[in-house]
Amino acid sequence: FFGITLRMVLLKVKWGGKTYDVDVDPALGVDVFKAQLQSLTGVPPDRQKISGLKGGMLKDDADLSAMGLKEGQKCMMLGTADAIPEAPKEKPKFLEDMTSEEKAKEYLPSGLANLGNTCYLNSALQTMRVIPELWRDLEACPTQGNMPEQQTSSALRALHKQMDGTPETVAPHIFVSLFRQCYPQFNQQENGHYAQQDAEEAWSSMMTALAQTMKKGDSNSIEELFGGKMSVTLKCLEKDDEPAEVKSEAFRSLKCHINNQTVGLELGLTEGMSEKITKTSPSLEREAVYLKDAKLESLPDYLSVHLVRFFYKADVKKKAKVVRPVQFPMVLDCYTMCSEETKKRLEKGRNILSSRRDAAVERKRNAKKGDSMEVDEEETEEQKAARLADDEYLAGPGNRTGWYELCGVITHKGRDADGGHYVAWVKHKGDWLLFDDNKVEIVREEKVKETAGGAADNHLAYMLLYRTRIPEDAPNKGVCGPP
Amino acid sequence: SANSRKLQAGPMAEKDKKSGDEEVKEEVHLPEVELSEEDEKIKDEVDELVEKLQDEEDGVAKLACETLCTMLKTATGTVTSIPKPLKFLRRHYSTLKDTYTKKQAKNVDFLGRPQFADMISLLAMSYAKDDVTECLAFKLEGSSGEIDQWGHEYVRHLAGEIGIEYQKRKAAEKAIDDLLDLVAKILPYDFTHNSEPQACDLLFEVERLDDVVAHCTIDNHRRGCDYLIGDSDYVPPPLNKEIQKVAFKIYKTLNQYPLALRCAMLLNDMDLISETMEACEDETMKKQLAFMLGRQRIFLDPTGDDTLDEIIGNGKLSEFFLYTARDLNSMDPKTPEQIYKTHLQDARTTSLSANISSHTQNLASTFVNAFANAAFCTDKLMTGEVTQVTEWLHKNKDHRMMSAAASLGMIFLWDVDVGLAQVDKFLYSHEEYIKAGALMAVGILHSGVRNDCDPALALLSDYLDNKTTDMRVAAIMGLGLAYAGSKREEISELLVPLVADSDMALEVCTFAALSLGLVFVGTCDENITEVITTQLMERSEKEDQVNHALTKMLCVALGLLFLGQEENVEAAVLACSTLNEKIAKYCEMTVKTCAYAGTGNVGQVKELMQQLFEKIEKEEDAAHQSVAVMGIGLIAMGEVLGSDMSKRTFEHILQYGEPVMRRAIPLAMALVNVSNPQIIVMDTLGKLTHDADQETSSNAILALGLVGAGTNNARIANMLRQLANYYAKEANHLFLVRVAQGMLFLGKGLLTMNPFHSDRKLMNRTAVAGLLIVLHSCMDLKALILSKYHFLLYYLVTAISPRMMITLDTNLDPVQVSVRVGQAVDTVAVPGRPKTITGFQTHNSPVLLQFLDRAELATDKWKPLTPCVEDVVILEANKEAEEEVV
Repeated sequence: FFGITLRMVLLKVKWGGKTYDVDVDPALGVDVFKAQLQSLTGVPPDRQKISGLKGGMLKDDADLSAMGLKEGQKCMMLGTADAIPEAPKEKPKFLEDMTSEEKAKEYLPSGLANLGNTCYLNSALQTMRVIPELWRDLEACPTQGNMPEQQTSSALRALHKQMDGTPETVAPHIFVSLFRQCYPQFNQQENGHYAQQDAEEAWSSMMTALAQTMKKGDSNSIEELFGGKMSVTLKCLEKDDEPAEVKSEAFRSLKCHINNQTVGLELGLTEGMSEKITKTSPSLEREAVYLKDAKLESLPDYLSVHLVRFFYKADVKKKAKVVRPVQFPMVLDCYTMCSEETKKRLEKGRNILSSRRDAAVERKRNAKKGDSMEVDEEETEEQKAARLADDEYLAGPGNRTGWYELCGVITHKGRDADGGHYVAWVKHKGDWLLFDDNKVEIVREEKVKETAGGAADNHLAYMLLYRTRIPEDAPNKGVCGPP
Repeated sequence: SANSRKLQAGPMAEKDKKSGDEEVKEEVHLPEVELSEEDEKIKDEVDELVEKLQDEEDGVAKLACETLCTMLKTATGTVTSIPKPLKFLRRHYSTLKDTYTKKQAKNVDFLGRPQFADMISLLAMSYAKDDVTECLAFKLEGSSGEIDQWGHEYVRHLAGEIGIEYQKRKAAEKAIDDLLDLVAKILPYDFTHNSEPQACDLLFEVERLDDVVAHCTIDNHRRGCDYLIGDSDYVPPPLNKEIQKVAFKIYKTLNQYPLALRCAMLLNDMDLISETMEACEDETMKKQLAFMLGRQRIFLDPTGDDTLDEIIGNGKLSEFFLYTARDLNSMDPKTPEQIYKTHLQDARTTSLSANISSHTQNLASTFVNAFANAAFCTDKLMTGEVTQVTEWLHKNKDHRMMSAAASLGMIFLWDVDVGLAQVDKFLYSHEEYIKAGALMAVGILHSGVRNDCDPALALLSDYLDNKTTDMRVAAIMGLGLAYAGSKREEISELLVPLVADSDMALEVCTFAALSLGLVFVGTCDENITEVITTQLMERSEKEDQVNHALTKMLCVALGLLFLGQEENVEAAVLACSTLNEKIAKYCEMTVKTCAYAGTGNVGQVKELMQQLFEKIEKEEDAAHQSVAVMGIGLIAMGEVLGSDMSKRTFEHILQYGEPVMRRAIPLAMALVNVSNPQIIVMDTLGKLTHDADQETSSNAILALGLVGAGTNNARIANMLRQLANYYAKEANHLFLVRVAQGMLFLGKGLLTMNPFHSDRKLMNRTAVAGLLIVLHSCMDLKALILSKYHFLLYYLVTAISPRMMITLDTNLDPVQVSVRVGQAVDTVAVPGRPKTITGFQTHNSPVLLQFLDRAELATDKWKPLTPCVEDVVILEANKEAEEEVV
């Protein structure tokens, strides 16, 4: 009895910030000691590492009795009962391991270097890059030929390809020089530097060059994408019985004139489409005032709107800028600008999208209430077929609803057209990106809305690009619906 | 009329007679203006007495002399003007001298001689030539009794002449006894008249500084000792140590243990340190001393007293730090994003899908997280759910995983018990890199802490012969960090064979040498010195290793052994010069600058500047010039004047130096100003961060981090955020910017990396060692930190200390008292009772101190046990104050 009590030694074992008193029998060996510790701490013996006793880390075959253990001796145990960490199943991908092309997909689109007052061209180019159909067609069409337009177009195609393949800034030297050769008005120099130019002019010039290249039978891709028609009625206001003259006019972009009353884009456009002009009346055989009333007849896939902010001011001999704010919507509805006939044509598409939206709202409301039962309602065969038919209808060429989504804005900052700075704001995969030459960054939608004007010396929207279809990589892909 | 003409001509004629030296003095004074009636009277009286003094009759002369003396003593006048009698005696000065000689010629000890001599001595103070010690000569002739009859200024002047005379006589080997007698009389006067600095000066001049000890009392020693220690900065070795030893003796004799200990630590004399510890009998005071030892990381042999040993081993550091952190409400973990302030940037510049990230930037985040949450035992990346932690670990690719796992050590810094339990599970990981990182973590969290169970040694020594080099390196580095400054023989036994093996991989050899350098920092250990030197010799003969960055780090390891050992370095420097010429100079320079670290030795700085004059064609042969530039900072860092001067030197080098020198400037500036962001330094570094030379800008970025380390300085934070934008596309620069941001927010602003503490008097050698390893590795960032040796950054851990001041009661429980914190004022040799801090604010302890701050208690209910209110301070209830309240 005595022998046993004498043999026992009290060790103070520290573990994880706590101290445990353990009565150890040195004669019994390490495994017993470790088992004692396991019962106290839950750490399995093979993970227990004990230090503070003689001879470094306590070995399993060590002889405790030979260690000269002292009553109350302190030692320390290391070890956890925690699970051994496993490597994550999905291996993380690293930027550094990706090729330039892979990176380009992950990174923001590349910016364009400013080659000396080329921001107007850069912003027009970046806005153009948001039109996938254009590049698809340009890729498909043969671009041999020595015409300056053709050369410009192929340089453009090469540039686009280069930008797709890298996350880095691209310097568009070749394209810019060919473009200037093709359109010498952009070759103008001031004090040995290339002069600032109008972004909208650059945009239309590029469109013209592309239209020359991308021939499709009688028409061309640009015409297919941007070309719309409007019916223009000319009614003489001075002679009621003179029959109104009706003709059809093609357009590639709409102009929004800004006067003292202009507040919003829709009104500005509508006002611009009905205006009074003077022309020679065949019946009166003199100059007479006519009411020119235009109505949209066919709507293009892409609608570009030119806010006419620059006008030539004779007294200062400069193109001055109208800084009046013009609000523009994120989704533009052209319904009211259409002719009655067209409106009727649009009804079908509009009904489909409206009812879909209402259904979605309804579903959302139910989901909020918790009526999940009805939400999961199975779609019948008939319904499915109808839905597919609707989809097919909407996917047809041109805009079939009157609704357009804003996808690009070119803004100008500065007092007159010959100076200042152009940047492009482009919707990319659901995010708005700001392309300021070589700098590309994500911005909030509010920032884009702010370019409508209001604050002095800010960027002001100068050209707007609206689209019918939202590309696959955006979250709300499909046809643009009601706001 | 003839008489009147003579009178008119009088002054002119007299002026003509004056010898050249007196003319000089004449010029200073305005020509005699018309005297007032009163003055005229005094003048006449003085003239008359002088006349009488020349009287043949000694009795008459004596009487006249006595009257004059009384006049001189009683003439008060205003503070700013010369007493009138003294003024009027001026033109009689040479007459009086002549009279004295004449009288003495007649009778050696004529009547009234002592008084006469005393008076001339006084006049000599003002009117003698500058380079004659007439004042002293006549004083020695004069009465031997009173020394203070002519007041304070006279004693000062006399002391000055004694110094001059002493040097003269010493050179001529003449007797000096009479001088020493005089000194013995001046000393009590000085010590009772607030002139301790002058007393010290005098004794120093006559080379009898030891005598000061006898005169010091509990009331007057502080000013004297402050002066001695302040003085020692400007005295060349070995005299400086002599002075410090005297200060130590004074403190020791007067039982001022904390100050005695500080002095002993300043001398870095282990014998004096143990002597102080043993001499102190008060248990609470002993604890206070133990805290001071812990702060300086001096691990005395176990005393047998558990509490004391725990304090010395910094076993309670984590507890007190976390108490402070809780009190200051800074426990919430900080994420790297919070530090980068990504939310402040208006727009994200990259959009990446969640599963893709840059491993370089992830590694940066690892370090940022480690630095920002260091010692807090909690964070958002490494201490959560195991799955999340491993996910983060794997976002650090390959060898970067090592640093990621090692960051756990930083987070659990100083908390050995809990930290080891957390690290342990990663030792079982299937990923070798994680295992290696866990080994490093074991070492890192032990940094500065001594644990009697030695878990780090037990754990890490098992991996020293591991097959994997990474694992070995990690274990070696862990040992070095865990036992830095401990001088443990076991470590030397384990690591020396690894260094000595010439076939061993270079990295194993280098890291083993660095660990030895850390553990035996400043010991000049012969065995280790020899082993490292031999390796340098052998490896510098190998083509592939001689120019390797790691071979250069081997030199640093050697330098660490001699850190602060200026007296013992010569042999080692000589040995370095015999190495392969490609590395000899580099090694020599490294070892030498290490030896003079923090001494402020001007001679050495000059020698280093000499090195910069040499124009070297090939850049790779000029590496030693970088070391020389950094050496200037290393030497100057210890002392205020020197570090200010070094800044000017750096400006010159920036303007005229070669790129290889400019590169080292940011590093040198960082060294001088670690955790001490002075505006001029920030500005210079800010400019250099945009330098065209890549290496310079990289170093400047890291330097900004070091200069701001642990200060949360808003200006640097802003600079770094802008740099992050500027270098957004340059991965390496961005990495360094991130790391610098992490350092800036070191311990969320509760920690510091400055190696100086205790009123900036003491230099923590292990801290300097850690800083040096990192700064030297910055000389070749591309090969080391930006390559696979990023974990070198963890060597900074040895420099990390809390910048808190926490007050404890005698039971070592934290107690809150109100404390004034303000900028420290240098009060050395300032008369009266000057304020020691300025622009203070009153807080409740615990408080944080900036580098230039000083704290003092704002209550008299408590008394600090140490006058140096820093780090951990034990307070005693002040009984006197309590009685007053009653």
